[in-house]
Amino acid sequence: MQRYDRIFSLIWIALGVFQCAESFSLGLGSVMEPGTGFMPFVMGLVLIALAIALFLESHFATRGTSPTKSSPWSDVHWKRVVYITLIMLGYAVLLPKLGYLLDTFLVMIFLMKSGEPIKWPTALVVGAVTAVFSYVLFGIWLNVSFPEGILSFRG
Amino acid sequence: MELLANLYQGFQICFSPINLLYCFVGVLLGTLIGVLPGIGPGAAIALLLPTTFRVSPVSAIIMLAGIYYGAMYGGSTTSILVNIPGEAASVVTCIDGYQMARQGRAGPALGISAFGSFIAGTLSVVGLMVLAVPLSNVALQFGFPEYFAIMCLGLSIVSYLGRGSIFKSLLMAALGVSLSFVGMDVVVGKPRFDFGLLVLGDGVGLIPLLMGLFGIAEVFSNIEEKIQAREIFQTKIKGLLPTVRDWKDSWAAITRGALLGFFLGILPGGGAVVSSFVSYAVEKKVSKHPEKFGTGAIEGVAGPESANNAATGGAFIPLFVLGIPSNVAMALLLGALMIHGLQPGPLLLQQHPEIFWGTVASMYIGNVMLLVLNLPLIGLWVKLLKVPYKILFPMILLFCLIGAYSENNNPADMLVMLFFGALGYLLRKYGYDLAPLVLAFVLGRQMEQAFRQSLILSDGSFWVFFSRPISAVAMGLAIFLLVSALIPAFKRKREKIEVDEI
Repeated sequence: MQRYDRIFSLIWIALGVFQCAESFSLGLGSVMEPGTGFMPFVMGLVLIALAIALFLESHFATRGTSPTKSSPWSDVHWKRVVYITLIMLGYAVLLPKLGYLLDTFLVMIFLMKSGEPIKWPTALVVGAVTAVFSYVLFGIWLNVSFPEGILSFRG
Repeated sequence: MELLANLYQGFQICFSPINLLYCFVGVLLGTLIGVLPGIGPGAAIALLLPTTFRVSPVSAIIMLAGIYYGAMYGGSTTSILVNIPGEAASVVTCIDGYQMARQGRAGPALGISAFGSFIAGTLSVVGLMVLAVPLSNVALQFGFPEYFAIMCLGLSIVSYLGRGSIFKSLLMAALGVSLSFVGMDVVVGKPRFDFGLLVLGDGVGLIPLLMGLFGIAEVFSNIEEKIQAREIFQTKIKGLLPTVRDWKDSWAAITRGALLGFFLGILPGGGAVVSSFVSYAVEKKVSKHPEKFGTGAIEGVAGPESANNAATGGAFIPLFVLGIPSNVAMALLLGALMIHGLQPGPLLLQQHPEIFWGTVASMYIGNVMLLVLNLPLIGLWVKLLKVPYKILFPMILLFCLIGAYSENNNPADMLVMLFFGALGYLLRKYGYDLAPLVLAFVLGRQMEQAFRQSLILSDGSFWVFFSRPISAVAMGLAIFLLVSALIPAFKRKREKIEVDEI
């Protein structure tokens, strides 16, 4: 883990530097009258300071106390996480085009079929029921306006 | 007398059919969420926040509060029957509760936890009711420096209690504050850090952020591991009513749990989880037969379960008195109030007493509903545990997607949520605690305003935070905590009490 802490602390430092630079261009104002960039600038400095502290802490961490785990990515299905993220991205992008009901039905099928085995009839029924039920709950009862898309009755 | 008049007004609000319905839906959903492992009360409130956009603020708060204390009730059921805590505050209940179930005493274990929760929950509402108004009168005298110092102290405590390295927790707090800067500058109305993106023009949305960090990231952490079928302890649950002997053994534990929970609940970061652990430790210490703990001692169930419910009442105090949430669930309630255009704090109690008193009254009623719901319906909750996760998780994700979309009917908010989902997943993987991030994000803008106004007041002198008594004490405590986290002896202590409250 310590190696990752050091990598992360470099990312935090970069973020802090970026924040400070951006705040500087927004205008810091003065201590008597702090401007738009004042507090972000201070927080940027705090980020940098904490990141340096984390870097040093992980560098000097007592060695040999706990054997470093090889990687937090071994033994996990991280590809499945990426796959599911992509499905949801697709949902967000296609929602205006496909409309709520069709898009939701499809995303449910894809999500259910993403890992553990699940029978087709179950997936189809759960997908359809969820799409309709959530439409009634949010679209009709709670008045959220969803895009109708290609299933629009009004053409 | 004024107290009773206010309470009467609260009950009048609460007894309107619509509010009773929202209270019922809240505690029902809360219990459901408490029963289902893998989704905590924070995530549940985030998921259901969008369903309250179009109802009156008092109904919204009644329902969301119901989810919160309902989850504390429900969490114990799975701890006792399956040895899987439904949420973090029920972890200790597993120790003796599951042992009781194995000895065929699942009924009394469930019964005493429901009764204990009811008694302690009700006592803590009394505490909330009695303390909130006098405290808010004190808080009305606070100026910007006091507020800034108290928020710093709150964030320090939450970071101190966070998982892993103190620097990581503090980094999360700093990141949270920084994220709150995105969008319009509150004081002069100048855009900043929006990278020219329209969706960030009004700042990072609270709902997409929360749903991403808690809803999506939580599902990701669950699905990356192979989903295992849960084994449910196969036994007939009979005799839910505890015997006279059981009551004798546990009444003191319930009382102590209620007091501990209430006062620990007021402190930031602690709340339900810490108080349940502390209560267990206390019960073991004062017991005449500590060796029985771990083998099915009923006090080991009664104490912690009472404490975690009492903590929910205590947790409302900083929210209503100062407008400062003490944990993630309270941060969400704060968000809900703000979405309805209300700013929690001492003024809220004066300008909108109906919100506070309606909520207080609903908590009395909600506690009764929970007692009625939990005892006869336990069989149903057990059945629910059998819903496979492969069907559950797509629904949770869909709820998150709709929730993010529905606040502004904007698909781009779903992308913001996915970004925070991925970020939260990564941060958790590398040992970062997300609670400080969320609290800091919610408080960020208030902090900035208090900071800037304090400096303007003091002509640019930072001494203003240390020269006024209340802010000096708060700042002193914050610095003490952070420094003590670095001293090796304290560091080991801190590692013992660190918790992961979601």
